[in-house]
Amino acid sequence: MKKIAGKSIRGMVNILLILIFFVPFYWMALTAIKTLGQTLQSPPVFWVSNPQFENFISAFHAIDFMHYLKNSVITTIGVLAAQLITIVPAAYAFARYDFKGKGVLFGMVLATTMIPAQLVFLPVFLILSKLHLINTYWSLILPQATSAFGIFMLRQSFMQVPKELIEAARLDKAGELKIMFRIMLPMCRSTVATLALLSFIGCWNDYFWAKVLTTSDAVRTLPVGITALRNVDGGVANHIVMAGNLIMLVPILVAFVIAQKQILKAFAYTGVK
Amino acid sequence: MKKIELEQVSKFYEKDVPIIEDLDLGIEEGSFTILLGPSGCGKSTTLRMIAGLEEVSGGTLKIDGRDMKNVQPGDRDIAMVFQNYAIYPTMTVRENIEFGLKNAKIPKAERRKRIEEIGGITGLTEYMNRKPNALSGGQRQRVALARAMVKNPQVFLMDEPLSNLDAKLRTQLRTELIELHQKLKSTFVYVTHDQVEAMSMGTHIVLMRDGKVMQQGTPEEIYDDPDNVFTAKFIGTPPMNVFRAEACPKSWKIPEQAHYIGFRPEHVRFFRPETESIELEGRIITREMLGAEILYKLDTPYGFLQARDYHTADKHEGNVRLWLSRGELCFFDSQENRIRSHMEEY
Repeated sequence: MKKIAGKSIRGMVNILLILIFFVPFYWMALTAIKTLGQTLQSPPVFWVSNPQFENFISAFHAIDFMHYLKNSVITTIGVLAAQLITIVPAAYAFARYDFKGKGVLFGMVLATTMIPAQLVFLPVFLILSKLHLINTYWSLILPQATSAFGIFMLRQSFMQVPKELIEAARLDKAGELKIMFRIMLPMCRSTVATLALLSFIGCWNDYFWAKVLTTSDAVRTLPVGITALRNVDGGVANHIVMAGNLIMLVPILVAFVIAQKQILKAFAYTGVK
Repeated sequence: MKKIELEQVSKFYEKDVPIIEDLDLGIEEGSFTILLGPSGCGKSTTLRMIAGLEEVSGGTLKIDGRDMKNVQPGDRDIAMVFQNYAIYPTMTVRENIEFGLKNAKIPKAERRKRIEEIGGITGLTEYMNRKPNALSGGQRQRVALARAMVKNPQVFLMDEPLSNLDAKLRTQLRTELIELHQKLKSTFVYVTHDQVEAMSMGTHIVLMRDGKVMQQGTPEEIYDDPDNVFTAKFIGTPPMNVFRAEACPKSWKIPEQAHYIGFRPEHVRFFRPETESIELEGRIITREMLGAEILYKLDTPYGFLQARDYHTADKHEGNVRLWLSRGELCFFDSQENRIRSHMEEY
C-alpha cells in the first residue's frame, strides 16, 4: 500500500515537472502559428486548427534576419573558441599543478560565479568603451571569453585522470599543450561537450550583454534583433515574435540532439577509466 | 660500467621528513636490477627520480655519467612501464605505441617499420586498431611494454608492472620479460615488493627499507649470505628462521656478541648430518604438501620454526628430532647486523 502511494506521488511530481517545463514551450510554439486575432483572444485558445506557417516567413522578412544571424554565429563561435583557449589551461593548472596562491586563486574564480552580470556591466562597458570596442564583435565576445563554472567543471574532470597517464605522456616527450589537448581533453569529452553546449546556449540566447554593450545594430545578435519583431503590426505581434524565437531555437535543438549522449554520460558517470 | 648512479641522493616531500636519505646506488649497464622492499620503503620514489617524474631534493643522479638535473623525463632516453599500464584510453593500440615516436619526430616510414616489428614481438599485430577498453589485462600490459620498447630506450623502468595481473599470467609475463632483457641487452630497473619476482628475474637485487639500502647483490648473494635480519626475513618463502640467542642453550656454542641466530628452512634436517650439527626437539604443528617439497611448521622450546623437506615420501608427525648443520647458521648482533667473524673461530 505504502509502495503504491509512494509511486503515485512520484508519478504526479514527475508529471508536474514535465508540465512546468513543457507548457511555456508549447505556448511559444502554439503562439507562433496563431493569427493575430487568436493571440489576443480571451479566454486563450490552446489549439489551433489552421496553423499560420507564414508567420515564420513574416518574421524572417520583418527584420534583417540574416544580418542578426550572422552576428549571432560569429559571436557564439568567438565565445566558444575563446573559452576553449582560456578554460582548458586554467582547469589543467588548477587540477595538476601546485603553486603558491592556488587555493586563493581558485576561490576567486569560484566567487566570480556569484557576481551577477548586472553588477559588473557598467565597468565592463566603460572599459570596452575606453578601448573603443563598443559595437565591435569584441564587445560581445570578451565579456564571455571565459567561464568560472567551466573552469570548475573541467578541473573536476581533469582531477579524475590518473596521474600516470600524464607522466607516461611526459616520458613520451609530449609537451603540456599536447598533454592537455591530446590526452586530457579527449578523456573528458563528456564534460567538454556539456560545457560547450551550455556555453553555446548561454551565448546564443544571451540578451543582456548583447543589448548593453551595443548602441547600434551593427553587431547586435538574434535575441536583440527579434525583440524588434514586436513592432510589426503595431506593437502587438506576439505571434511573429514567437515565430522568430522558434527559428532561433533550431540550432540549439540540433546541438542538443547531437550532444545528448555525451551530456547524459557526463552527469551520470563522473569517473574516468 | 655504471649506467645509472645515485650519489647521496635524498628526497623530501616535507622539510625534515626524508623519504630517502643519502642514498648511494649504482646500476650496472645491461643489468636487470630489482628495487625490492616493503611498501613505503622508497623504491618507487627512487625509480621515479631516475625517470625524472620526481625531483631529486639533494645529491646527484647521473645516467651515462651525465647529471640529470634539469633534464626532462622525455629527454633521458628511458621508457617506463606503470603498474596500472597508463595507456591512453582514447587512442588505439597503434596510436598508443606511435605517440612517443611522433613526438620524437621520427619519420613515418620508420615509425611504421618499428611498430610492425614490435607488434610481432609482443603479439599485438591483430589488435592494432582496437581501443584499450577492448583488451584484456595481459594485452594492456603488452601495449604498455610495446610502447616502451618501440622507443629503443637505453633504460627500461618498470614499476610493479605485473602486480595487476592474475597469477598465471604473471608467471608467463615474468618469463617473457627475462627473455626480453636477454634479447634487448638494455638496462632494466624493476620495482617490486614481491621477492619471488625479484629472485626469479633479477641479475642484481637492491633490497630497501625506510629509504635505505639494506643489502644489494646477486639473488644468490642475497639469499645465501644475508647482511642483516631484515634481509634474512624478507627473502625466501618461507623466510629464514630467526631465534633469539639468549633463549638458546649454551651447548650450541653461540658467539658471544650474537643476539640472533638464523637458518633457512631447507637447512632444518630430520636426520643427523655428517657435518658438525646441533640437535633440537620440536612438535609438528602443520604440514603442507607442495608436490616437490613439504613445508612443516614446528614448535620448539626456542620459538616456532619452519622446515622444508624434499623427502616427500617421509611423513613426520608429532614430536620429532631435528638437526641443524653448524656451518649453515647465520649470527646477527644486537643491531641485527650479520657477524661474520665467527667463521674463523670454528
